[in-house]
Amino acid sequence: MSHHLTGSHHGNHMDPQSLATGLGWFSIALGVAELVSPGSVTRTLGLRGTEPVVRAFGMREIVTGVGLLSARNPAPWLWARVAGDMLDIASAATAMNRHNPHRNAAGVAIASLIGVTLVDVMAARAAQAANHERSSHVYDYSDRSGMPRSPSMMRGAALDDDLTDVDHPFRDDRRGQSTERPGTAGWGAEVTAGA
Amino acid sequence: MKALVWHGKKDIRCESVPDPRIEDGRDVIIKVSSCAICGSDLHLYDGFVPGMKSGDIMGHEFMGEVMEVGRDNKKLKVGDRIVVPFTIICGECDQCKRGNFSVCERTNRNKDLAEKAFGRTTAGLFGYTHLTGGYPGGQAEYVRVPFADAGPVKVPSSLSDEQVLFLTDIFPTGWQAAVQCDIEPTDTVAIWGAGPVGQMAIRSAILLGAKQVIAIDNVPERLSMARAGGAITINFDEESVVERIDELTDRKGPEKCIDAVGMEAHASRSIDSMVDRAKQAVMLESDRPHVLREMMYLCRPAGVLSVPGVYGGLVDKLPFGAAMNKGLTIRMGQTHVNRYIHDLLRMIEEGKIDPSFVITHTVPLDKGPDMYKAFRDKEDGCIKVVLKT
Ligand SMILES: NC(=O)c1ccc[n+]([C@@H]2O[C@H](COP(=O)([O-])OP(=O)(O)OC[C@H]3O[C@@H](n4cnc5c(N)ncnc54)[C@H](O)[C@@H]3O)[C@@H](O)[C@H]2O)c1
Ligand SMILES: [Zn+2]
Ligand SMILES: [Zn+2]
Repeated sequence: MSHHLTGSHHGNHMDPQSLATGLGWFSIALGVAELVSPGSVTRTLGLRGTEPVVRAFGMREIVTGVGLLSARNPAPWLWARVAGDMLDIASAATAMNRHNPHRNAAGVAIASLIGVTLVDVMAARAAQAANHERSSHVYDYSDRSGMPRSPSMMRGAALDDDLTDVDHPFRDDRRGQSTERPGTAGWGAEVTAGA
Repeated sequence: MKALVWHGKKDIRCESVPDPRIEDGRDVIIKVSSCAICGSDLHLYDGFVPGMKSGDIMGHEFMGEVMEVGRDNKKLKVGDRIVVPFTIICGECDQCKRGNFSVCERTNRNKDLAEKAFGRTTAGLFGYTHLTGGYPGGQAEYVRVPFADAGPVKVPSSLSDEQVLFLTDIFPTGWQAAVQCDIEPTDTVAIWGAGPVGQMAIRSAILLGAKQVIAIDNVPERLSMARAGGAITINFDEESVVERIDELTDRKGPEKCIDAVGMEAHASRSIDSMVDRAKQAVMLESDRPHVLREMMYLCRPAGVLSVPGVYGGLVDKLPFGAAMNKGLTIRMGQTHVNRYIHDLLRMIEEGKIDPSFVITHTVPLDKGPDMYKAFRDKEDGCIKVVLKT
């Protein structure tokens, strides 16, 4: 009936779940920062006037972060982060024009964004692989009814005999109780509910 | 002796700890032969239940042989083989006399803590928070069983450990969940969660004569086991729970709904469960009541919501207006194990059910910490773990 576990499963170097959790919190922190003080982001990059865009990006980060933290399957949310990274890189790239005195800062930002994107791609791949591993093994418990005959034949089987007939402690209290509280399904009545 | 010891969130270790001793005349000490990991243990493992202390011994589903008997205990003797209900009862207080065992007034030795958290005290529980007495649990080689002349039940040698172990908790819990529904032969019973408690609730609802049983989860092998027990299944990752339930109930909703999930309900595809996850993370609410909301919304008017799933603190945004206006009855609680245990033992003896169907993993006690993870993450087809000492 039961099978024994032969060994533990520590195949993966990187635990996709904890990586996803880390990235989730990172997303939320970044999102809150972008939402609360978009000005500091735009100042660094020399993109004044784009605060509403940065705020919107902040919202996106928070949604992705919450998604990452709440999902049993982080893969789609990690791919959402990758897509977001692309958007970030594209917007930072607009700061790379020759006239922007903050060009160097934008360059640094793009370089680190590329780094973050790589981590996100790795995490998304790992999560996908873990999903695949999980779903490639199907456990079939279709023979585990726990009952001697088919469920349709067992329907109502507990009502067949008077389960209140056994002698055991508390039994007397229980009888007294159910007559004292008519209609409240005192527990003498409950066991034979529907009988 | 060896025991599984809680040290913090996701940190349970198998360690050497001092052997328990008789502390009171009604106590016995048992040598544990089998114990199990419960979904309630996962709430402790995940750090959602307040009042745990580093060093607490886990486990509330256990059985074994009596090794030592306190001088006032006239019920048990050395060598008896007993199962031990997870709710500790005195057998004498007003609540015990009414059969409301899980709210026994005497067995919680930290009443003041419980009163702060819940307003009034509830019963002492093994291997659980200090709010319920902080009694060392049964995922250990030996356990001190307090009030042992009231709760524990002797089991016949004709039945294996695996057949009777779940009388300590999940079988009566699934049973009480169904009994609380006052099932009628025309009823549809919808059960959220196809974990061990949900599985027992499915069989109980069938045995109590429900016309149709619906089970909702997103773990394929759990749904397969649910179908084996006679349920129609809904995978909430793949289908809309609302639409499927409407289809199966002529758009009227199930008469009876059971929450066998509790406070760690997963985000399904709805926005509200994502918001809950975020709020819980920043401690704006402690429990995620996604399943409660869905039940209040979907249940047929004048229906019953039965809640064995454990909640610990505060929930947010419950559609209480829907529940009130539809005239729903809500029944819940930790299980009054001793109300049902004799009847259920008899059903096992008569062969009407064999609760061991739910066991997927049997391992030695020292593999326990790995199995917490496997059970929590549904790895390796894990549904119910039995630990052997
Ligand atoms: N009242 C009692 O005395 C008592 C006793 C034992 C257990 N419990 C409680 O019962 C609950 C279930 O215990 P278990 O051992 O079966 O645990 P479990 O964690 O194995 O089962 C929970 C199941 O719910 C499923 N689930 C999660 N989110 C869901 C959703 N949104 N909709 C539908 N299903 C969802 C999970 O996939 C899982 O299969 C826990 O809360 C546990 O603490 C209560
Ligand atoms: Zn339990
Ligand atoms: Zn009592």
